[in-house]
Amino acid sequence: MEWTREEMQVFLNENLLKENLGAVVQELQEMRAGRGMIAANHDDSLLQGDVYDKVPCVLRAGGELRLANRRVLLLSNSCDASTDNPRHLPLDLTVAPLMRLDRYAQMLLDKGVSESAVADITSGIRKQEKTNLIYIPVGALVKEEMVALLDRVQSLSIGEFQAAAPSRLAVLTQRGFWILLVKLSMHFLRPHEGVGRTAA
Amino acid sequence: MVNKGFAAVIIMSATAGGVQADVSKLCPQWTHSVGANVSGQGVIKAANSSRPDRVVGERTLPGDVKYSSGSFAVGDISSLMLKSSGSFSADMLLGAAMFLQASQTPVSRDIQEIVSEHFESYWD
Repeated sequence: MEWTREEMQVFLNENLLKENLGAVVQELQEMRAGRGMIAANHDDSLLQGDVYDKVPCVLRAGGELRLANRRVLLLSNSCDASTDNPRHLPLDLTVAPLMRLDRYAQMLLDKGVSESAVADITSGIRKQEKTNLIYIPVGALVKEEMVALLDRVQSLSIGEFQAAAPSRLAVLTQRGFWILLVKLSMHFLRPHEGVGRTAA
Repeated sequence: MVNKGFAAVIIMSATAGGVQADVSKLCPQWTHSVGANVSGQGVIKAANSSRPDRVVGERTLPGDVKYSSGSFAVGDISSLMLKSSGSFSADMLLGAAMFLQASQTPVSRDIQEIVSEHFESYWD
């Protein structure tokens, strides 16, 4: 879906000065263009939203389970993920699978989805428009466009993670982190579900 | 459909990182250094970080824009919550979150069925 500047401004405080409205709208447009979302990193600590390669993940195929090293997006919060923060019982890490966007598109094409429909879907993914998907653009050590699937998250122990010594390909910038927060909120939280809940 | 109450929840989450006291409650043992270089960006600047050290990816770009209760740099929407305070930034972030929320559409059922069934064959 294309959004005009005027349509974006509907969501912003009408009391903002005109010049600031323009800046915020520009930010939103930059976000939808996938710019400035990830960064290279030279620090050892784990951070929420990190992109890692070669993390042991569980795959289900043909009714069987197996482990394989895959790329993931770290969803655990930075405090719990950091080994610098002592915990009596270390929490497991939660990760979302990261799939190459071209593989995602190829999967749909192979299963009979039309080229135009696939083009529409990938365009929406790049603009962060899909509720269960987070788009990761090329940058830092990420050589191909990726998409994180929030409906397929899994967990592993910090010990397993460390033993695999996965390489960090990128960290999220502040803009990327903001997108992650909003996406996580929208995918996992629906406080406006409209259901009246009463005690039994 | 936009739900302002829901978006406010998002903003509360997003802005929590900009307040020292709140973060210390959430992450009391966070004391280690965090550093990063931003790809393709020339300037990395530590500002009002919520942690003892600079914030990952935080940067400023040329062209600061003045507004009614301070100033911010074009180039990073999240830096707004670190460099400004009060209702202005809250309103702005609320608006931005509401926009992002409004732009969301679910993956169609047909597509999701394909992904669910074949995802692991294509995940490499």
